[in-house]
Amino acid sequence: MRQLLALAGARLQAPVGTTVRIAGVTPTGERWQSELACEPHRGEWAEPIGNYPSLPLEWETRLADGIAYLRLSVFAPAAMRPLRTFLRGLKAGDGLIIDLRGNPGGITAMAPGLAGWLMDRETSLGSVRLRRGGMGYPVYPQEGAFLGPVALLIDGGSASTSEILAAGLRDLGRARLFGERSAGAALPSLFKTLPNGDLFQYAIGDIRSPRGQSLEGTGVAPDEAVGRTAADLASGVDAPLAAATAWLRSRLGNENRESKRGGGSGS
Amino acid sequence: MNRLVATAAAVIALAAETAAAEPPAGADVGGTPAERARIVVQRWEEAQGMRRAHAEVFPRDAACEISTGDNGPAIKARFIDSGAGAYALLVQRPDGWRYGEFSAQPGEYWFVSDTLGLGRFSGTSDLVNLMRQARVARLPGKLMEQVRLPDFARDGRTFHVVGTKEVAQPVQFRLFDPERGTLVQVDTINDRRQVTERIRYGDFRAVDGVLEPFETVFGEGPQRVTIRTVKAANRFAPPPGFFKPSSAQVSLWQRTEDILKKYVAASGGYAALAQIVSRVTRIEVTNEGAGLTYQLTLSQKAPDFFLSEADMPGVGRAWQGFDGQTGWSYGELQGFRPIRGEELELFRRNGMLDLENFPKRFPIRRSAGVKEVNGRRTAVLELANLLQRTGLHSFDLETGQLLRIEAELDAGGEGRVPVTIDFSDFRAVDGVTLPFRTDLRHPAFNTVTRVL
Repeated sequence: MRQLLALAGARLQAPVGTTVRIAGVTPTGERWQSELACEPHRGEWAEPIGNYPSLPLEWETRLADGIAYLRLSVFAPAAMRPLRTFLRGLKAGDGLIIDLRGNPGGITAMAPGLAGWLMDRETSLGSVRLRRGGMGYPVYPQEGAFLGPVALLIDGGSASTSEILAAGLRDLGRARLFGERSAGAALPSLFKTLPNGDLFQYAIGDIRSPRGQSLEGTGVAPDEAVGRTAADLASGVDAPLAAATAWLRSRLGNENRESKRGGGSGS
Repeated sequence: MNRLVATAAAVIALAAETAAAEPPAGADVGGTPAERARIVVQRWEEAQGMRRAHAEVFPRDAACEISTGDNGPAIKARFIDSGAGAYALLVQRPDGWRYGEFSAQPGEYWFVSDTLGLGRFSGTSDLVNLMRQARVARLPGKLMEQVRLPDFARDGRTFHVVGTKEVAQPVQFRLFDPERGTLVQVDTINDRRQVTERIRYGDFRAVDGVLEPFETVFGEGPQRVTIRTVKAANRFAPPPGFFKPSSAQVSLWQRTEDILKKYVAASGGYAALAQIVSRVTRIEVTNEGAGLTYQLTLSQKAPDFFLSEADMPGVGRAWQGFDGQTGWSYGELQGFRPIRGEELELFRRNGMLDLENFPKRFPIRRSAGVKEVNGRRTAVLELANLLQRTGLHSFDLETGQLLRIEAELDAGGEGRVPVTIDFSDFRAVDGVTLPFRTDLRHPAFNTVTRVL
C-alpha cells in the first residue's frame, strides 16, 4: 500500500503548466477520469537553506474544546516561530495532536527544537552513528513548555525528521502514535552541489530511536494502527484524527477526575 | 574589624543568655562560658590525642573511599600527609582513571597521571583540602573566643556545644560527644546565624590508642562529600623524594612550558596580549556540507567573556554567549540551551582574549611527539586542566603558532564526535597575531571561518 501511494504520488508530480490525467474508482465502484493542471504552489514557500531547496510550506494550528491541533507539511524554520507561540499558549488542561502525515521531513534540528517545547527535562530524541563517532539529538526543555498529553499522527508519507520526532517522543513516553507505519526513510543527510548544478543528497549516518530502534527501512509503527479507507475519504471522516481525539478526551477526562479526587483528599 | 568583634560578641551574648536561662547538663556546670568551654575542649584533646608531639603522628598514611551524595561508585584515594606542608594524594576514579597530586614545598604543587602527563599548579586542590580535614579537626591556632553554648539534642542524643571565633574567620559551633569526648560536628556560621558549612565526624576507631573519625561528611544533601577511611597509619616512612616528581618528569614538563611560552610570544608576547582587553570580529562562516554561508559578529571581553551573533539565511538569528560563569545559546530552531563542559571549553579556548594566560589555564600536559600539520613540523601536546581534557594541540616548531586542535566532543545524548580545527592565515592586528582562517572538520560537516 505504501509503495503504491508513493508511486501514485510520484506520478502526480509534473512540471508546472503540464497536465496529468488521472483515473479512479469511487467507493460505490464507479470509474472516473479527470485531468489535473500542474500549477505552482500559491501559498508560502520555505526559504532555501544553503543547498537545501525551497519547499512549499503549510502549517495549521487550532484549538477547540481543550484539544489543540498542529499540522506541519514540512520541517522548515519559517514555521518555528508560529508553532512555538502556539505551543506556549496551550494550557495545562489541554491535549495536543501533532499531525505529521505526509510530512517528508526537512531541517532535522527542528525535531529536538519542537520537542523542547514538550519536555521538562534534558534528553535526546535518538542517536546517530557516524563513520567516526556519534551524535545525539539533544532536547533542551524550554520555559513554558506544554506538558499535557500529546497524540501524534503519522502515515506512509511521514519521513525523516517526522520519524525522528515521532519515534523520539514515543520512546520518551511523551506521545502516543496514531495512524499508519511511517516511510522508514530517516537517515540524516546532506546535499552537495555537483559540477552541473544538480544536488547530490547523501546519508551521513545511521539513526536509532532513544530505545535503540532502527528507523531506516522499517519506519515507525503507530501505537494504534488506524488506516484511512476509501469510504472514510469519500465521507470526509478522518479516522486517525478521530482516534487521537478520543484518546486525548479519555486521558484528559481521567486526569481531571484524578485531580478532583486529589484535591478532595487534600482539603 | 568591627564586624568581626560584633560577631564574636554575638556568640558570647548567646552563651550569656543560655547561662542565665538554664545551666547545661554535665560536669562543666560551674565557671564562666569560656571556662566551661575549656573543660569540653580538654576532654576532646585527650580523647583524640590532640596534644601528641608532631613526630608521634606524622607522616600519616590513609587509604580512603570518597563518594558524593547517596549513590555512585566511590573514588579510591591514598593520602600521605607529612604534617609539614608536603603531601601526596593518589586517586583512582571509578572510570579507572588514575592520577596523583603531590607537593614537597609551598608554591610547587604537582599533578601526574598515566594518561595526561604532568601538571604544575599554584595551589592545592579542593580534594587535598578535604583530605586534610577528614581526619583531624584542630582548633584554630589564633583563637579569639571560645565559649560554652547550650547543649544540643538530636535523635535522642545530647551534644556539648562550644562556639569558637578565630581572628578574621567566621564563628564555628563545635558539637562534642559528652560520653567519649570526641568532636562530631563543626558548623560554620555567618553573621545571620545561618550554617554555611557543615562537617560531621563519625565511626570513631582507635589508632595508636587515640580515637579518630573513620567517616567524615562535608556538606549535606545530594552535594555532600563523604570520606571513609579504610586503613590508617601514623609515622609512615616515605622513601626519599616521595613528595617530588622526578627530575626527568620536571624536565619534560618544562619543555611543554617552553612550547606554550613560545606560542604566547608568537601571538604577540605577554605585554601586547595583556593590552587587548576587548575585541569585535566580523566573521564569515561557510558550512561546506550544507552549502550554507553566513556572517557572525563575535564580541569579546577579557578574560574570556564572549557574545556571538549570527544571521543564517533561511534559519534566522542565533546567539551564543559566556559571562564568565554561564555559557548559553539561543537559536530559532533549538531555543535556549546551556553551553557547558567540553563545548564551552572549546569556545573559550578558540576565542581566548587573554592568550598570555594560556599556559596557566592548561597546567596539565603530555607530550604527544612531533607530527606534520599542513606541511609544517609541529610539537603535539595534550593539554588539560583538573576539569577536563582538552585534546591534542599542535604547535609549529619554527614559529610557535598553534596550527591544529584535535578533540573529541560531547555531541548530545551519549554521542561523541572527533573534531579537528586547523588555524591558518596568521595576521597581526594591534601587535597581536591572529589566525584569520579556521577549518573545522566534523564527521558530519566541514566549516570554514574567515575573519572579514
